[in-house]
Amino acid sequence: MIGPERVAEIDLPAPGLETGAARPAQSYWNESWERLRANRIGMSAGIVIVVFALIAIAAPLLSIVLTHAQPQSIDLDHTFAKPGLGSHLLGTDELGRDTLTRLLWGARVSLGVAFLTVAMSLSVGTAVGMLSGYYGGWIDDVLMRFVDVVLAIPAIFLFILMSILFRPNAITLAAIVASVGWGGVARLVRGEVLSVKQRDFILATRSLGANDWRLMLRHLLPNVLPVLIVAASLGVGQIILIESALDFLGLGIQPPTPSWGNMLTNSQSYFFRSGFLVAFPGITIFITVLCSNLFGNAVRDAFDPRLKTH
Amino acid sequence: MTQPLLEVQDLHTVFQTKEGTLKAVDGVSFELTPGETLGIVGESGCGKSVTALSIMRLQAPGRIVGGKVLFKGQDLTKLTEPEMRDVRGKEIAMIFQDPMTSLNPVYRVGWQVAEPTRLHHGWDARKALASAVNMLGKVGIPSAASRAQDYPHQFSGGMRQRVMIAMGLTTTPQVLIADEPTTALDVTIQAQILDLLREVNREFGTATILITHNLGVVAGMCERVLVMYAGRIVESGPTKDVFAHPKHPYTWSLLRSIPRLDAEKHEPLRPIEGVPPHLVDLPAGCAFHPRCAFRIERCSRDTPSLERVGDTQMAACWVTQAGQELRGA
Amino acid sequence: MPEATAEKLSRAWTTSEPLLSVSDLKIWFPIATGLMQRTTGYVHAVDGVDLEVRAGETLGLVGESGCGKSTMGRAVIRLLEPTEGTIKFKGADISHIRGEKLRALRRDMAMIFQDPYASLDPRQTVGDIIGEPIDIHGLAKGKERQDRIRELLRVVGMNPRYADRYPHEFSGGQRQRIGIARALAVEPTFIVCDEPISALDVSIQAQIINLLENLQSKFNLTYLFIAHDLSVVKHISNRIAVMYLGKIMEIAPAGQLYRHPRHPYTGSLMSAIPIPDPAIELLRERFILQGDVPSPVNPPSGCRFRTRCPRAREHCAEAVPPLEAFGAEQRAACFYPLEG
Repeated sequence: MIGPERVAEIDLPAPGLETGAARPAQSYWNESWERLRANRIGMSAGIVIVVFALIAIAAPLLSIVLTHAQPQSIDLDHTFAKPGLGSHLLGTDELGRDTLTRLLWGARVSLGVAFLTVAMSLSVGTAVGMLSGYYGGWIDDVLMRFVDVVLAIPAIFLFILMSILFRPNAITLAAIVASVGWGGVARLVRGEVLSVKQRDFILATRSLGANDWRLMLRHLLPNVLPVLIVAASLGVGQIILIESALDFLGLGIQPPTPSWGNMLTNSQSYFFRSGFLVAFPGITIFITVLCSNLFGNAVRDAFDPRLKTH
Repeated sequence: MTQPLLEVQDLHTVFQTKEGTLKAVDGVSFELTPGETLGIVGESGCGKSVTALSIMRLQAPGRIVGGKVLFKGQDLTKLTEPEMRDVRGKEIAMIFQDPMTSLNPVYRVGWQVAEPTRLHHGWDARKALASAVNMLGKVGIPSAASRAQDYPHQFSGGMRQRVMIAMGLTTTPQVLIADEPTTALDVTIQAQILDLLREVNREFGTATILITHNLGVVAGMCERVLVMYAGRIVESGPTKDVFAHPKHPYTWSLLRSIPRLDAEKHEPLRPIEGVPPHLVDLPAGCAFHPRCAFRIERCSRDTPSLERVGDTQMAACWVTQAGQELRGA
Repeated sequence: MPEATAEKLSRAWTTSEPLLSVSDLKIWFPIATGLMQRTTGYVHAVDGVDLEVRAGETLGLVGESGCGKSTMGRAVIRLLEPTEGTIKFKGADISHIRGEKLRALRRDMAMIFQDPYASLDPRQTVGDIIGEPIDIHGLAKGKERQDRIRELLRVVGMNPRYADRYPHEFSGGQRQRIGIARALAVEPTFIVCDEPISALDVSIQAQIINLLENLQSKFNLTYLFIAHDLSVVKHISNRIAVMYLGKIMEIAPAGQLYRHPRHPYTGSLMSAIPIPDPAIELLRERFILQGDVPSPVNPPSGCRFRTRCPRAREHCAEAVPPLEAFGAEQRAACFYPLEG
C-alpha cells in the first residue's frame, strides 16, 4: 500500500480564473451584487427607496430650506391651493397646510414604521425559526404551534383594540404590526434552515466538533440570509400598505402628525374640492410600494442559485 | 455497404452564458448504421449529452448553429417543430438518466407507456394500452397487466428504467438513444438493464446510441465507440480496436488511469494530470494538449481533425496521425 | 506539520489491538406516520454488524443502495448514536459518549464526504473552511494558524494562494481536495471516506485516489473506505467487507475477494461490474440477479439475500447464517457458499 513519494502539485488555475491575472476572490455576495447591479430596473427601484429614505431623514431640513413651511402650519387664507410654482409646489389641504411638506414629514412616519417593523419582525422571526428548524423535536412543535396561534390572530381586531387602548406612536405601531408579522418570517426561516441543515457541509462541520451555536450562527444564518434580505425588501412595501390603511382608518398614527395614510383620511370628504389631496399621497404610496416590490424581486433574482453556472 | 440510418455532419451547438459562448458541440460528425450499437463515451462536459439532445432537437436553451443531422435522408435540423414531433418518440426514441423524474408521477404507468402509440399511430386507448402491457412484459416487468395500473412511485429505480425503455420501444423506432441509462442505478440492476438493452437490440433490430462515461459499459455493449472531449470527437472505431490500441492520447491515458477489477497487483494509478478545460475558454490548438504526455509544438497551434489512423480507427491527433505509437511507462 | 500518530496513541491501547472495533451494531431509524406521528416501524439500516479496522489499514465497505454502508460510516464516527451494540475506538467504548469526550474524539476521527459541491460552506473562504477545525479545537492562532492552513493546502496538492477564494470557484476534484485538507486539519488517526470519488469525473478520480494513498502513508492514517464501485475499492483497500440490507455478507482481503468470493452476493456483484476490456466482457459468464433489493423496513427472514439468491434453499429462510471462516482471513455468511 505504498503510494508515490511526492504529491504532484496542482498549480493550474481554477476554471474561471485567468492564467496570471489576479482577479479578486469572488464571494457569493460579490456575485449576487454584480447580478443585482446588472438589473437596471431593480437598481433604479432600490435607488428610489434610498432617496425617499434620505428625504425622510432630511425632512426637517428640507422644511426649512425647500418648502419654507411646517407640516402643522395652518393657513386658512390659502386652503385648497392648486399645485404650481410658487410657495406651494403641490398645493395645500383643507387647512391650508402645504402638501409637499406634509409628504416629506409623512415619509418619516411611514418609512420609519416600515423599516422598524421589518427589523423587529425579522429579528424575532429569525430567532424562532432558527431554533425551531435546527433543534426539531419538541422545541419545533412548541414554537410552531405558538406561531400558528399568532398567525391565527385576526390582525384587524388587534389593531382596533390597540387604538381603543392608546394612541400609538411610530415605535409602538411598529411593535404592534411586527407582533403579528413575525410568524410568517419564522415559518420562512424554519423552512430554509430545514433545507440547509440537510446539506453535507453542516454534517461535515459537526464531524469536526462544532457545537450548536457555531453551526447556527456561522453556517446556517449566513446561508439563510438571502431569504431574509428578500423578505425584508418585499416587507417594506407590505408594511407601508398596512400602515397606511391603519392610519387611514384612524387606527394608527393620529393627526395632526402627518403620515401618508392619514393624509388620505379627510381627503375623501374633500375629493371634489381638490382631487390632488387624494392623488399625491396615493401616488407616493404607490411608487414606494412598487419600488419595494421591484427591488425585492431583483434581489431574489440576484441571489437565485438557479442562475449560478454550476 | 448499408446506407447509414443517421448521419451527423459537422454539428455545432452552442450555449450563451454570461462568460461567453459555450461551444458544447464543436464539429461532431458520425454515422449510425441500422441495427448497430454505437457508444459515445466521455466525461462530464464533453458534449455527449448535448449531441444526443441536438439530434432530437431538444437542445434548448442551446442553439444548433451549424451542421446537419440526416435521418433517412432528411435533415432534422431544418424541420419545423411539428415535423420534428413526428420524428421524436416515433422514429427516434430517447431514454434518460434519472428514472425517478422521467416519469410523470400523477399518471398510471400503463397510460404513460401507451402515450406514444396514441400520439403517433392514433390508436384508441384500449389498443394502445394492450400494446403497452405487451411491451412491459417484454422488458421484464412481472405481472405486466396489473402493474400497468400502478403509479411510478410504486416502482423501483430499475423497474422504472425498464418502463422508460418500454415506452421508447412501443412505436418500434429505428433509433434508440440511451443517455446514461444506468448511471443512477445500483450495479446489479445496471447489469440487468444492460442485458435488456442487448436483448432489445437483438430482437427488434433497433440501432442504439449508448451514451455513458463508464468505459466498462461501452466495452460490454457497443460494437463501435466514439470518444469525446471538449465538444469534439477525438477518437472513433470498433470497440475492440479502440480499447486494444487506442490512437488518441486521451483515450490511452484514460484507459490506463482507471482501476481495474481484474488487476493482478497493486500499482499506483496513473492519473491524467490537470483538469478538463472550460468550454468557454478552450486552449488554442488541440483541446487536450495541456494535459497530454505526447504533445508536440504543433498541438498548441493547430486543432487536429478526425482522420484515419490505422486500419479501422480514426483519431484527431497530430502525433498519431504522423504514425507515432502511444507507449508509456 | 507534526506527525499525527505519535501524540495520539493513548497509553492503554497498543497497535496490536484493532483501532476500531464494532460489535453487534444496530442502527434503526423510527418511521413516524399518522396524525400523532407514532412510530409504526423501523428502518433496519444497520442490523447486527461485527467489524474490526486495524491500525494503518484501509478497510473497504461496499454494497448497493440501502445496504447501510453510509449509515455505518456515520455511526463509527459517532454522528449517530447506536440503537444497540458497541463501538470501541482505541480500546475505549465510544458508543454513547457525549460532551467533552465526544469533542475529544472529533480530533481523532474525521470524515470525507461524497458531494464536493455540498460538503463545503459556500459562504466561507477556503482558508476559513480549513481553519475552522483548527479554531474549534484551539490548535493554533494567528500566524501559526495561517501557516498550518497553507501547509494543508500544499499537502493536498493545491496552491496555498487559493486560501482566500471561495468554493464555487473550484472544480469538483479541487473541492474534494479542500475537503480532505479540512479533515486533516484536526490531525486525525482515522478517516471515514464516504464515497469520496463517486461524484468526480473519471480522469480526476485517479488523482484523488493517489492522493489518499499518499496521505495515508505520510501521516499513518487508517481508512474506512465506503463506496459502491468495487474496482476502486479493490484497488485501495487491504480488506473488503460486503454489506447487504444492514448486514455483512462477506469480508476478505481484496484480492481474495475477487478471485475466490464465497458469498453468492459477492459473486454476482463481481460479475455485474463492467471491465473496460471488450475481449473479457464478451466472454464473461454473467451471474445476473433477478428482482430488486427488498426494503430495509421489513427484511426477509433468515438470510436476507435469499429472495434474490439463485442458490437459496428452504433452510435459508429459517435461520440467519453466521459469518463462517474460510481460511485465515476470509469470512462469509452463507449456508451454501460458492466453491473456492
